Amino acid sequence: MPTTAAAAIDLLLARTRDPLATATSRFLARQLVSLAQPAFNIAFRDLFISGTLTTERRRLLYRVDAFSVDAARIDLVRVGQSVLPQVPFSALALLDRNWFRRLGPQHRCWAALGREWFILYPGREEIGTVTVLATKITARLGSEAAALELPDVRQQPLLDFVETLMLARRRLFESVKPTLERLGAHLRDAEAA
Amino acid sequence: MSVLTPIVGEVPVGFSSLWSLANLPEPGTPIKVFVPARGGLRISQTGSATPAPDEFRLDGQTITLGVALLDFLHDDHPLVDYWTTQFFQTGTALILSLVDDLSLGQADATQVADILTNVLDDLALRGWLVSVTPYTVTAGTATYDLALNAVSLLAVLGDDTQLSPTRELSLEMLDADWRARRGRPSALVRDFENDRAFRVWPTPDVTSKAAGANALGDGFPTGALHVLTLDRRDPIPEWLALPVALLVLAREFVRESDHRDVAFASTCQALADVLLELIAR
Repeated sequence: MPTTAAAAIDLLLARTRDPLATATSRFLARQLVSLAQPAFNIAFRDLFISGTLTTERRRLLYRVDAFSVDAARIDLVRVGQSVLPQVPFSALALLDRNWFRRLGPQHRCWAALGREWFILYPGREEIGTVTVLATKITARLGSEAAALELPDVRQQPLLDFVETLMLARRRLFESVKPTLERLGAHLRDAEAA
Repeated sequence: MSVLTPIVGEVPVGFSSLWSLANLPEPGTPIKVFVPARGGLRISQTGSATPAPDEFRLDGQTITLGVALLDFLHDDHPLVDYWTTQFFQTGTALILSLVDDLSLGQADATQVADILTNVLDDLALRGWLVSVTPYTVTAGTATYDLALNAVSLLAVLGDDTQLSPTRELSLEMLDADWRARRGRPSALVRDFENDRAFRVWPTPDVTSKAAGANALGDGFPTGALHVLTLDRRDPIPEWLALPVALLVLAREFVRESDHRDVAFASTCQALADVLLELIAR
């Protein structure tokens, strides 16, 4: 599988029988790969980022981008060696209507509030740290030299997806149908892997 | 190599120029550039072993490419000789540009703008994009407006309590004089005739204090409300740009028009569904 944006673009242009990029510019092909790939990593969670978040006094609600602007979703929160259990936000509010300002000696669980916020429950009087593991938003393919981060098994459906879109843009619907079917098969392979 | 001179006018997306560190003026020298709406500037190292781009999100304004950028170039990466710059788009501008590109220019810009608003409203209801907005409470004022971009009210947090949702009818049955009650709000009352506002009960008897530095922590403004809403977001996170563009195309090409194309619309819808299903996992 291609390791760079340039190789992926070459492959896509070859597959769509447009090697000179007359129907689809290399810029657009790169943009489509770049914009599609985060969804594949959000689903399959191959690439993570981890780090330390410094918690604030009496604060429970944190923005995910306070941890990292490249985090798509928090997957795990750890205090020391203990992994905090995740609870649904709706359950937190049902169990404790005063959750928002609840304080305790240590965080007992965490909850996601959409994709951009998370809650450490309860809050603490002291500043502390937690270790956060998050699914990474794949880096923008800023140039053709940029590396594709997804592993091979995920690149298959990613490239099928972009190929289908490039064909649909040109209204080549006879070719769209088999590529959509191939996309479905490769997505199933990716899930099984 | 381009000469480092002021760039006048709208910079086309994908505009790129190569700059040399030797040609850069001293830090602090202003260089005017005009960035596309909701755009930014990407700076990549050329000839570097680690060509990771650095991006400045400038959000569509005329900016002075002065102190910050030049300090960055001079001080943070002094060993890199050449830089390429490229302007890029984010948010709505990126989506509209994708819609135009993928539709081969056929999409109707006026219709697309309306469709985009509807798509962003629908997307908000998926619950991925939540806003937490502090509200100043005024003593004697029970009703507060939602922000213009709020699509759905998720919760209202009082001082330390998530207000319990209730209905006017329930309060009426409990206390005929409920509107006159004053105190610390404990309930959230939705008015079905005006979904752009909400009422807290009892009516606050104290005006909230100003927030401190850590407004969600120990600087929490006593008496204030924090309102959690699902939003129509602009700019939306970039990982949602492509599915949104595809949903817009699906609706634009299925409606009655001189460029109606049901096959294209259904393919765009299918591809949008693939991405949204992946993101939802």
